Amino acid sequence: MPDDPVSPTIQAEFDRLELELRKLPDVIAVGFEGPAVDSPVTDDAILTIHVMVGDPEVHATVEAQALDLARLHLARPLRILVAPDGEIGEAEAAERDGSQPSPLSRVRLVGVGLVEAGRGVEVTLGHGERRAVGRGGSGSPSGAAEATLTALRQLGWSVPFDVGASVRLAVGTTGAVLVYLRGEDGDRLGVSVGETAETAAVKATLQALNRWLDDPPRRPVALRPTTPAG
Amino acid sequence: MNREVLGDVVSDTAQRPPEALVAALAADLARAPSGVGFIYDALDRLRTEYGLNDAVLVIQSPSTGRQAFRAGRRPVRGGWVSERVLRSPAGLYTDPVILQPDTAESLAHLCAVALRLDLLAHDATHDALTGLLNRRSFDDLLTRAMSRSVRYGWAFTLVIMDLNRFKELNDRLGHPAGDEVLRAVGRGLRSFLRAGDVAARIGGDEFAVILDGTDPEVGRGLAARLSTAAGTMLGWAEVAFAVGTATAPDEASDAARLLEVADRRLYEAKGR
Repeated sequence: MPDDPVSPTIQAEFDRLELELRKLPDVIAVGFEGPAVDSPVTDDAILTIHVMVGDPEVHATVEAQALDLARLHLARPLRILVAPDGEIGEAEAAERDGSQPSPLSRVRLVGVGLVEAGRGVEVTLGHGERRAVGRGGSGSPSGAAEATLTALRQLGWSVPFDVGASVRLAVGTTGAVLVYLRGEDGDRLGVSVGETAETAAVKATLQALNRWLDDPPRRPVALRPTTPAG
Repeated sequence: MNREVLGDVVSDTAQRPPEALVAALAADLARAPSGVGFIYDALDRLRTEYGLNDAVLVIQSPSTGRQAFRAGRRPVRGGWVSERVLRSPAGLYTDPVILQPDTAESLAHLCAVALRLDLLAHDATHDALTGLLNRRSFDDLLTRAMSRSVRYGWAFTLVIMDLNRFKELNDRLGHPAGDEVLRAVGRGLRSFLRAGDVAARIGGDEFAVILDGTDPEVGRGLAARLSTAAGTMLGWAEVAFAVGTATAPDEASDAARLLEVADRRLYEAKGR
Protein backbone atom coordinates (compact mmCIF):
# COMPACT_ATOMS: atom_id res chain seq x y z
CA MET A 1 0.00 0.00 0.00
CA PRO A 2 1.36 3.39 -0.87
CA ASP A 3 1.49 6.31 1.48
CA ASP A 4 -0.16 8.54 -1.11
CA PRO A 5 -3.72 9.57 -0.34
CA VAL A 6 -6.41 7.54 -2.08
CA SER A 7 -10.01 8.36 -2.81
CA PRO A 8 -12.43 8.09 0.13
CA THR A 9 -14.48 5.48 -1.76
CA ILE A 10 -11.52 3.18 -2.26
CA GLN A 11 -10.36 3.86 1.28
CA ALA A 12 -13.80 2.91 2.62
CA GLU A 13 -13.81 -0.33 0.65
CA PHE A 14 -10.42 -1.27 2.06
CA ASP A 15 -11.63 -0.41 5.56
CA ARG A 16 -14.71 -2.63 5.17
CA LEU A 17 -12.67 -5.48 3.75
CA GLU A 18 -10.08 -5.23 6.49
CA LEU A 19 -12.71 -5.26 9.21
CA GLU A 20 -14.33 -8.37 7.73
CA LEU A 21 -10.95 -10.08 7.43
CA ARG A 22 -10.22 -9.29 11.06
CA LYS A 23 -13.51 -10.89 12.04
CA LEU A 24 -12.39 -14.23 10.60
CA PRO A 25 -11.32 -16.72 13.26
CA ASP A 26 -7.87 -16.16 14.78
CA VAL A 27 -6.85 -13.33 12.46
CA ILE A 28 -4.35 -11.06 14.22
CA ALA A 29 -3.19 -8.70 11.51
CA VAL A 30 -3.90 -7.70 7.92
CA GLY A 31 -1.56 -5.93 5.54
CA PHE A 32 -1.54 -4.97 1.89
CA GLU A 33 1.30 -5.04 -0.59
CA GLY A 34 1.49 -4.36 -4.28
CA PRO A 35 0.35 -1.71 -6.71
CA ALA A 36 -1.18 1.55 -5.60
CA VAL A 37 -4.76 0.81 -4.65
CA ASP A 38 -6.15 3.33 -7.09
CA SER A 39 -3.82 2.43 -9.93
CA PRO A 40 -5.30 1.03 -13.17
CA VAL A 41 -6.26 -2.60 -12.86
CA THR A 42 -3.98 -4.77 -15.00
CA ASP A 43 -3.25 -8.45 -15.08
CA ASP A 44 0.29 -7.84 -13.84
CA ALA A 45 -0.65 -5.59 -10.93
CA ILE A 46 -1.56 -8.15 -8.32
CA LEU A 47 -2.45 -6.92 -4.87
CA THR A 48 -1.21 -9.21 -2.13
CA ILE A 49 -3.25 -9.30 1.05
CA HIS A 50 -1.29 -10.63 3.99
CA VAL A 51 -3.40 -12.19 6.69
CA MET A 52 -1.70 -13.23 9.89
CA VAL A 53 -3.39 -15.88 11.99
CA GLY A 54 -2.60 -17.07 15.48
CA ASP A 55 -3.52 -20.69 14.92
CA PRO A 56 -1.94 -22.52 11.95
CA GLU A 57 -4.86 -24.97 12.02
CA VAL A 58 -7.20 -22.34 10.57
CA HIS A 59 -4.81 -21.51 7.71
CA ALA A 60 -6.77 -23.13 4.88
CA THR A 61 -10.20 -21.98 6.10
CA VAL A 62 -9.06 -18.40 6.54
CA GLU A 63 -7.34 -18.37 3.16
CA ALA A 64 -10.48 -19.48 1.33
CA GLN A 65 -12.77 -17.11 3.21
CA ALA A 66 -10.36 -14.20 2.90
CA LEU A 67 -10.17 -14.69 -0.86
CA ASP A 68 -13.97 -14.70 -1.16
CA LEU A 69 -14.26 -11.55 0.93
CA ALA A 70 -11.50 -9.77 -0.98
CA ARG A 71 -13.10 -10.61 -4.34
CA LEU A 72 -16.36 -9.14 -3.14
CA HIS A 73 -14.79 -5.86 -2.13
CA LEU A 74 -12.04 -5.36 -4.70
CA ALA A 75 -12.45 -5.82 -8.42
CA ARG A 76 -8.77 -6.36 -9.19
CA PRO A 77 -6.27 -9.21 -9.40
CA LEU A 78 -5.32 -10.23 -5.91
CA ARG A 79 -4.00 -13.07 -3.86
CA ILE A 80 -4.04 -13.98 -0.21
CA LEU A 81 -1.02 -14.94 1.83
CA VAL A 82 -1.89 -16.40 5.19
CA ALA A 83 0.97 -16.62 7.64
CA PRO A 84 0.57 -18.51 10.86
CA ASP A 85 2.30 -17.13 13.90
CA GLY A 86 5.31 -19.42 14.02
CA GLU A 87 6.01 -19.40 10.31
CA ILE A 88 6.70 -15.69 10.12
CA GLY A 89 9.07 -15.90 13.03
CA GLU A 90 11.06 -18.73 11.48
CA ALA A 91 11.22 -17.16 8.08
CA GLU A 92 12.44 -13.91 9.49
CA ALA A 93 15.02 -15.62 11.65
CA ALA A 94 16.36 -17.25 8.50
CA GLU A 95 16.38 -13.92 6.69
CA ARG A 96 18.12 -12.17 9.56
CA ASP A 97 20.98 -14.65 9.86
CA GLY A 98 21.43 -14.59 6.10
CA SER A 99 21.92 -18.35 5.94
CA GLN A 100 19.23 -18.97 3.36
CA PRO A 101 16.75 -17.08 1.28
CA SER A 102 13.33 -16.55 2.76
CA PRO A 103 10.90 -19.24 1.66
CA LEU A 104 8.26 -16.55 1.52
CA SER A 105 10.09 -14.53 -1.08
CA ARG A 106 8.74 -14.96 -4.58
CA VAL A 107 10.04 -16.50 -7.74
CA ARG A 108 10.42 -13.71 -10.22
CA LEU A 109 10.78 -13.54 -13.94
CA VAL A 110 14.22 -12.19 -14.81
CA GLY A 111 14.09 -12.51 -18.58
CA VAL A 112 12.70 -14.27 -21.64
CA GLY A 113 14.50 -14.40 -24.95
CA LEU A 114 14.81 -16.33 -28.16
CA VAL A 115 18.00 -18.36 -28.68
CA GLU A 116 19.47 -20.62 -31.35
CA ALA A 117 18.49 -18.25 -34.15
CA GLY A 118 14.92 -18.18 -32.97
CA ARG A 119 14.51 -21.95 -32.72
CA GLY A 120 14.45 -21.99 -28.92
CA VAL A 121 13.28 -19.87 -26.04
CA GLU A 122 15.23 -19.24 -22.85
CA VAL A 123 13.56 -18.32 -19.57
CA THR A 124 15.50 -16.98 -16.60
CA LEU A 125 13.88 -17.02 -13.17
CA GLY A 126 15.18 -15.63 -9.89
CA HIS A 127 14.53 -16.54 -6.29
CA GLY A 128 16.39 -14.41 -3.77
CA GLU A 129 19.95 -14.23 -5.07
CA ARG A 130 19.66 -17.38 -7.14
CA ARG A 131 19.08 -17.58 -10.88
CA ALA A 132 18.03 -20.50 -13.04
CA VAL A 133 17.65 -20.81 -16.80
CA GLY A 134 15.30 -23.15 -18.62
CA ARG A 135 15.04 -23.77 -22.36
CA GLY A 136 12.19 -24.89 -24.58
CA GLY A 137 11.22 -24.85 -28.21
CA SER A 138 9.91 -21.72 -29.86
CA GLY A 139 6.94 -21.45 -32.16
CA SER A 140 4.29 -21.99 -29.53
CA PRO A 141 3.83 -20.62 -26.00
CA SER A 142 4.16 -24.18 -24.69
CA GLY A 143 7.92 -23.99 -25.19
CA ALA A 144 8.17 -21.01 -22.85
CA ALA A 145 5.90 -22.74 -20.33
CA GLU A 146 8.12 -25.86 -20.43
CA ALA A 147 11.22 -23.69 -20.04
CA THR A 148 9.60 -22.10 -16.97
CA LEU A 149 9.01 -25.48 -15.36
CA THR A 150 12.61 -26.46 -16.10
CA ALA A 151 13.91 -23.26 -14.48
CA LEU A 152 11.73 -23.82 -11.44
CA ARG A 153 13.10 -27.33 -11.04
CA GLN A 154 16.62 -25.94 -11.24
CA LEU A 155 15.71 -23.56 -8.42
CA GLY A 156 14.92 -26.58 -6.28
CA TRP A 157 11.18 -27.08 -6.70
CA SER A 158 9.91 -30.52 -7.43
CA VAL A 159 7.14 -29.42 -9.75
CA PRO A 160 4.70 -32.28 -10.42
CA PHE A 161 3.16 -30.70 -13.49
CA ASP A 162 3.60 -30.94 -17.23
CA VAL A 163 2.47 -28.52 -19.86
CA GLY A 164 -0.78 -29.90 -21.22
CA ALA A 165 -1.55 -27.15 -23.69
CA SER A 166 -1.23 -23.45 -24.34
CA VAL A 167 -3.56 -21.18 -26.23
CA ARG A 168 -3.11 -17.66 -27.54
CA LEU A 169 -6.08 -15.45 -26.79
CA ALA A 170 -7.11 -12.06 -28.07
CA VAL A 171 -7.86 -9.77 -25.17
CA GLY A 172 -8.80 -6.29 -26.31
CA THR A 173 -5.96 -4.91 -28.39
CA THR A 174 -3.33 -7.06 -26.82
CA GLY A 175 -2.55 -10.76 -26.76
CA ALA A 176 -2.81 -13.13 -23.85
CA VAL A 177 -1.77 -16.72 -23.32
CA LEU A 178 -3.58 -19.43 -21.44
CA VAL A 179 -1.42 -22.24 -20.10
CA TYR A 180 -2.91 -25.53 -18.99
CA LEU A 181 -0.78 -27.63 -16.64
CA ARG A 182 -1.48 -31.29 -15.97
CA GLY A 183 -0.48 -32.71 -12.61
CA GLU A 184 -1.07 -35.51 -10.16
CA ASP A 185 -2.80 -33.15 -7.73
CA GLY A 186 -5.10 -31.91 -10.47
CA ASP A 187 -4.83 -29.55 -13.38
CA ARG A 188 -4.12 -25.84 -13.22
CA LEU A 189 -4.79 -22.96 -15.53
CA GLY A 190 -3.06 -19.63 -15.77
CA VAL A 191 -3.78 -16.68 -18.03
CA SER A 192 -1.57 -13.67 -18.49
CA VAL A 193 -0.66 -10.93 -20.89
CA GLY A 194 2.88 -10.01 -21.85
CA GLU A 195 4.91 -8.04 -24.35
CA THR A 196 5.40 -11.25 -26.31
CA ALA A 197 3.57 -14.56 -26.37
CA GLU A 198 6.59 -16.19 -24.70
CA THR A 199 6.60 -13.69 -21.82
CA ALA A 200 2.85 -14.11 -21.41
CA ALA A 201 3.28 -17.88 -21.32
CA VAL A 202 5.92 -17.68 -18.59
CA LYS A 203 3.73 -15.40 -16.51
CA ALA A 204 0.69 -17.60 -17.07
CA THR A 205 2.69 -20.65 -15.95
CA LEU A 206 3.83 -18.88 -12.78
CA GLN A 207 0.30 -17.67 -12.18
CA ALA A 208 -1.03 -21.22 -12.48
CA LEU A 209 1.53 -22.35 -9.93
CA ASN A 210 1.43 -19.36 -7.61
CA ARG A 211 -0.62 -20.71 -4.77
CA TRP A 212 1.00 -24.09 -5.13
CA LEU A 213 4.42 -22.48 -4.72
CA ASP A 214 3.23 -20.63 -1.61
CA ASP A 215 2.19 -23.79 0.15
CA PRO A 216 4.89 -24.50 2.79
CA PRO A 217 5.04 -28.30 2.42
CA ARG A 218 5.72 -27.91 -1.28
CA ARG A 219 8.71 -25.67 -0.93
CA PRO A 220 12.02 -27.18 -1.86
CA VAL A 221 13.79 -28.78 1.06
CA ALA A 222 16.85 -26.62 0.51
CA LEU A 223 14.82 -23.47 1.07
CA ARG A 224 12.92 -24.55 4.14
CA PRO A 225 14.04 -23.10 7.47
CA THR A 226 16.05 -25.69 9.33
CA THR A 227 14.74 -26.90 12.66
CA PRO A 228 16.81 -28.44 15.44
CA ALA A 229 16.67 -32.23 15.53
CA GLY A 230 14.86 -33.96 18.38
CA MET B 1 14.37 22.02 21.60
CA ASN B 2 15.72 18.61 20.71
CA ARG B 3 15.04 15.41 22.54
CA GLU B 4 17.29 12.40 22.62
CA VAL B 5 15.42 9.14 22.46
CA LEU B 6 17.08 5.72 22.38
CA GLY B 7 20.23 7.12 20.87
CA ASP B 8 18.45 8.87 18.00
CA VAL B 9 18.08 12.59 18.08
CA VAL B 10 14.53 13.45 17.20
CA SER B 11 13.99 17.07 16.40
CA ASP B 12 10.59 18.29 17.40
CA THR B 13 10.99 21.86 16.30
CA ALA B 14 7.94 22.88 14.27
CA GLN B 15 6.14 19.85 15.55
CA ARG B 16 3.22 19.86 17.87
CA PRO B 17 3.69 17.82 21.01
CA PRO B 18 2.34 14.27 20.65
CA GLU B 19 -0.25 15.04 23.30
CA ALA B 20 -1.70 17.69 20.98
CA LEU B 21 -1.96 15.14 18.16
CA VAL B 22 -3.79 12.77 20.49
CA ALA B 23 -6.21 15.56 21.40
CA ALA B 24 -6.78 16.37 17.73
CA LEU B 25 -7.40 12.71 16.95
CA ALA B 26 -9.83 12.41 19.85
CA ALA B 27 -11.81 15.26 18.32
CA ASP B 28 -11.75 13.48 14.94
CA LEU B 29 -13.00 10.16 16.27
CA ALA B 30 -16.66 11.15 16.37
CA ARG B 31 -16.75 12.03 12.68
CA ALA B 32 -14.39 9.33 11.43
CA PRO B 33 -16.17 7.33 8.70
CA SER B 34 -14.63 4.10 9.93
CA GLY B 35 -12.70 2.84 12.93
CA VAL B 36 -10.14 0.96 10.86
CA GLY B 37 -9.58 4.09 8.79
CA PHE B 38 -9.23 6.14 11.95
CA ILE B 39 -6.54 3.81 13.30
CA TYR B 40 -4.46 3.98 10.13
CA ASP B 41 -4.93 7.71 9.96
CA ALA B 42 -3.65 8.00 13.54
CA LEU B 43 -0.63 5.78 12.86
CA ASP B 44 0.18 7.52 9.60
CA ARG B 45 -0.11 11.00 11.08
CA LEU B 46 2.14 9.92 13.91
CA ARG B 47 4.67 8.54 11.46
CA THR B 48 4.56 11.55 9.17
CA GLU B 49 4.52 14.31 11.78
CA TYR B 50 7.38 12.87 13.80
CA GLY B 51 9.39 11.28 11.01
CA LEU B 52 9.05 7.78 12.44
CA ASN B 53 10.36 4.69 10.74
CA ASP B 54 7.42 2.63 11.87
CA ALA B 55 4.43 2.49 14.16
CA VAL B 56 2.58 -0.59 15.34
CA LEU B 57 -0.55 -0.77 17.43
CA VAL B 58 -1.61 -3.90 19.30
CA ILE B 59 -5.12 -4.05 20.72
CA GLN B 60 -6.25 -6.87 22.96
CA SER B 61 -9.73 -7.20 24.37
CA PRO B 62 -12.36 -9.91 24.84
CA SER B 63 -14.46 -8.45 22.03
CA THR B 64 -11.68 -8.07 19.46
CA GLY B 65 -9.14 -10.67 20.49
CA ARG B 66 -5.59 -9.66 19.62
CA GLN B 67 -5.49 -7.22 16.72
CA ALA B 68 -2.37 -5.59 15.34
CA PHE B 69 -2.15 -2.66 12.94
CA ARG B 70 0.97 -1.38 11.20
CA ALA B 71 1.25 2.14 9.80
CA GLY B 72 0.57 2.34 6.07
CA ARG B 73 -1.47 -0.90 6.18
CA ARG B 74 1.81 -2.68 5.66
CA PRO B 75 2.15 -6.40 6.28
CA VAL B 76 3.66 -7.61 9.53
CA ARG B 77 7.22 -8.29 8.53
CA GLY B 78 10.56 -7.69 10.16
CA GLY B 79 11.86 -8.74 13.54
CA TRP B 80 10.90 -5.56 15.38
CA VAL B 81 7.35 -5.58 14.07
CA SER B 82 6.77 -9.31 14.46
CA GLU B 83 8.03 -9.21 18.02
CA ARG B 84 5.60 -6.43 18.93
CA VAL B 85 2.67 -8.01 17.13
CA LEU B 86 3.14 -11.53 18.42
CA ARG B 87 4.68 -11.22 21.82
CA SER B 88 4.56 -7.73 23.30
CA PRO B 89 1.75 -6.55 25.55
CA ALA B 90 -1.05 -4.58 23.93
CA GLY B 91 -0.06 -0.97 23.28
CA LEU B 92 1.34 1.49 20.77
CA TYR B 93 4.93 1.02 19.63
CA THR B 94 6.95 3.42 17.55
CA ASP B 95 10.42 3.34 16.05
CA PRO B 96 12.06 5.41 17.47
CA VAL B 97 10.20 5.73 20.73
CA ILE B 98 8.85 9.26 21.00
CA LEU B 99 5.74 8.99 23.13
CA GLN B 100 5.50 9.19 26.87
CA PRO B 101 3.83 6.00 28.19
CA ASP B 102 0.63 7.78 29.16
CA THR B 103 0.37 9.46 25.74
CA ALA B 104 0.92 6.15 23.97
CA GLU B 105 -1.68 4.59 26.22
CA SER B 106 -4.21 7.33 25.43
CA LEU B 107 -3.71 6.92 21.71
CA ALA B 108 -3.93 3.13 21.94
CA HIS B 109 -7.12 3.46 23.95
CA LEU B 110 -8.59 5.84 21.41
CA CYS B 111 -7.83 3.39 18.61
CA ALA B 112 -9.33 0.50 20.58
CA VAL B 113 -12.53 2.51 20.94
CA ALA B 114 -12.52 3.20 17.20
CA LEU B 115 -12.21 -0.50 16.41
CA ARG B 116 -14.94 -1.38 18.88
CA LEU B 117 -17.26 1.18 17.23
CA ASP B 118 -16.55 -0.39 13.85
CA LEU B 119 -17.37 -3.85 15.13
CA LEU B 120 -20.59 -2.66 16.72
CA ALA B 121 -21.65 -0.98 13.49
CA HIS B 122 -20.76 -4.13 11.55
CA ASP B 123 -22.74 -6.36 13.91
CA ALA B 124 -25.75 -4.06 13.61
CA THR B 125 -25.82 -4.41 9.83
CA HIS B 126 -24.80 -8.06 9.40
CA ASP B 127 -26.32 -11.40 10.22
CA ALA B 128 -24.26 -13.00 12.99
CA LEU B 129 -24.65 -16.55 11.72
CA THR B 130 -23.76 -16.15 8.05
CA GLY B 131 -21.82 -12.89 8.04
CA LEU B 132 -24.06 -11.65 5.20
CA LEU B 133 -25.99 -8.39 5.42
CA ASN B 134 -29.09 -8.52 7.59
CA ARG B 135 -32.62 -7.68 6.51
CA ARG B 136 -32.54 -4.05 7.57
CA SER B 137 -29.33 -3.14 5.79
CA PHE B 138 -30.42 -5.11 2.73
CA ASP B 139 -33.66 -3.13 2.58
CA ASP B 140 -31.63 0.10 2.71
CA LEU B 141 -29.33 -1.06 -0.06
CA LEU B 142 -32.22 -2.25 -2.20
CA THR B 143 -33.94 1.12 -1.85
CA ARG B 144 -30.75 2.90 -2.88
CA ALA B 145 -30.18 0.49 -5.77
CA MET B 146 -33.74 1.07 -6.93
CA SER B 147 -33.28 4.85 -6.84
CA ARG B 148 -30.11 4.58 -8.90
CA SER B 149 -31.85 2.26 -11.31
CA VAL B 150 -34.80 4.56 -11.85
CA ARG B 151 -32.69 7.69 -12.05
CA TYR B 152 -29.74 6.46 -14.12
CA GLY B 153 -31.11 3.32 -15.77
CA TRP B 154 -28.73 1.00 -13.94
CA ALA B 155 -30.13 -2.49 -14.56
CA PHE B 156 -29.96 -5.11 -11.85
CA THR B 157 -31.57 -8.37 -10.84
CA LEU B 158 -33.01 -9.14 -7.45
CA VAL B 159 -32.80 -12.83 -6.59
CA ILE B 160 -34.64 -14.30 -3.62
CA MET B 161 -33.78 -17.84 -2.60
CA ASP B 162 -35.55 -20.00 -0.12
CA LEU B 163 -33.91 -23.14 1.22
CA ASN B 164 -36.14 -26.13 0.46
CA ARG B 165 -37.27 -28.31 3.36
CA PHE B 166 -35.21 -26.36 5.90
CA LYS B 167 -37.73 -26.89 8.69
CA GLU B 168 -37.77 -30.60 8.04
CA LEU B 169 -33.98 -30.63 8.11
CA ASN B 170 -33.94 -28.71 11.39
CA ASP B 171 -36.46 -31.08 12.93
CA ARG B 172 -34.61 -34.15 11.74
CA LEU B 173 -31.01 -33.16 12.44
CA GLY B 174 -31.37 -30.44 15.06
CA HIS B 175 -30.72 -26.71 15.09
CA PRO B 176 -26.90 -26.93 15.13
CA ALA B 177 -27.07 -28.79 11.81
CA GLY B 178 -29.52 -26.20 10.49
CA ASP B 179 -27.12 -23.43 11.51
CA GLU B 180 -24.30 -25.22 9.77
CA VAL B 181 -26.35 -25.32 6.57
CA LEU B 182 -27.03 -21.59 6.79
CA ARG B 183 -23.34 -20.86 7.39
CA ALA B 184 -22.44 -22.99 4.37
CA VAL B 185 -24.93 -21.08 2.24
CA GLY B 186 -23.38 -17.81 3.43
CA ARG B 187 -19.87 -19.01 2.54
CA GLY B 188 -21.10 -20.31 -0.80
CA LEU B 189 -22.80 -17.06 -1.67
CA ARG B 190 -19.68 -15.05 -0.90
CA SER B 191 -17.58 -17.31 -3.10
CA PHE B 192 -19.87 -16.93 -6.13
CA LEU B 193 -20.56 -13.22 -6.08
CA ARG B 194 -18.61 -10.58 -7.92
CA ALA B 195 -17.30 -7.28 -6.61
CA GLY B 196 -20.28 -4.96 -6.17
CA ASP B 197 -22.88 -7.74 -5.79
CA VAL B 198 -24.79 -7.77 -2.52
CA ALA B 199 -26.05 -10.77 -0.55
CA ALA B 200 -28.15 -10.88 2.59
CA ARG B 201 -29.99 -13.28 4.83
CA ILE B 202 -33.43 -11.72 4.94
CA GLY B 203 -35.31 -14.38 6.88
CA GLY B 204 -34.77 -17.67 8.68
CA ASP B 205 -33.91 -19.63 5.56
CA GLU B 206 -34.38 -16.89 2.97
CA PHE B 207 -31.55 -15.17 1.16
CA ALA B 208 -31.55 -12.23 -1.22
CA VAL B 209 -28.96 -11.13 -3.73
CA ILE B 210 -28.61 -8.03 -5.89
CA LEU B 211 -26.76 -8.81 -9.09
CA ASP B 212 -25.53 -6.42 -11.73
CA GLY B 213 -27.38 -6.96 -15.04
CA THR B 214 -30.77 -8.40 -15.88
CA ASP B 215 -30.27 -11.93 -17.09
CA PRO B 216 -32.76 -14.04 -15.09
CA GLU B 217 -30.73 -17.15 -15.86
CA VAL B 218 -27.93 -15.68 -13.75
CA GLY B 219 -30.09 -15.94 -10.63
CA ARG B 220 -31.19 -19.48 -11.35
CA GLY B 221 -27.60 -20.48 -12.20
CA LEU B 222 -26.43 -18.95 -8.94
CA ALA B 223 -28.95 -20.98 -6.96
CA ALA B 224 -27.96 -24.20 -8.70
CA ARG B 225 -24.25 -23.63 -8.10
CA LEU B 226 -24.96 -22.62 -4.53
CA SER B 227 -26.90 -25.83 -3.93
CA THR B 228 -23.99 -27.88 -5.18
CA ALA B 229 -21.38 -25.88 -3.26
CA ALA B 230 -23.27 -25.92 0.03
CA GLY B 231 -24.00 -29.63 -0.41
CA THR B 232 -20.32 -30.33 -1.03
CA MET B 233 -19.26 -28.25 1.98
CA LEU B 234 -21.65 -30.15 4.18
CA GLY B 235 -21.05 -33.54 2.64
CA TRP B 236 -24.65 -34.20 1.63
CA ALA B 237 -26.81 -33.54 -1.39
CA GLU B 238 -30.00 -32.28 0.20
CA VAL B 239 -29.42 -28.55 -0.12
CA ALA B 240 -31.71 -27.03 -2.73
CA PHE B 241 -33.39 -23.68 -3.26
CA ALA B 242 -36.56 -22.26 -4.68
CA VAL B 243 -35.76 -19.08 -6.60
CA GLY B 244 -37.65 -15.94 -7.52
CA THR B 245 -36.13 -13.14 -9.58
CA ALA B 246 -37.18 -9.68 -10.64
CA THR B 247 -35.37 -7.10 -12.70
CA ALA B 248 -35.06 -3.36 -12.32
CA PRO B 249 -35.96 -0.91 -13.66
CA ASP B 250 -38.12 -2.88 -16.15
CA GLU B 251 -40.38 -4.70 -13.69
CA ALA B 252 -40.78 -2.20 -10.87
CA SER B 253 -40.12 1.39 -9.98
CA ASP B 254 -39.76 0.96 -6.24
CA ALA B 255 -38.10 -1.52 -3.92
CA ALA B 256 -41.30 -2.86 -2.35
CA ARG B 257 -42.82 -3.65 -5.75
CA LEU B 258 -39.62 -5.34 -6.92
CA LEU B 259 -39.62 -7.52 -3.81
CA GLU B 260 -43.25 -8.41 -4.43
CA VAL B 261 -42.51 -9.55 -7.98
CA ALA B 262 -39.56 -11.68 -6.88
CA ASP B 263 -41.55 -13.06 -3.93
CA ARG B 264 -44.47 -14.04 -6.13
CA ARG B 265 -42.15 -15.94 -8.48
CA LEU B 266 -40.46 -17.58 -5.51
CA TYR B 267 -43.77 -18.93 -4.24
CA GLU B 268 -44.76 -20.05 -7.72
CA ALA B 269 -41.49 -21.96 -7.89
CA LYS B 270 -42.08 -23.50 -4.47
CA GLY B 271 -45.54 -24.63 -5.52
CA ARG B 272 -44.23 -26.56 -8.48
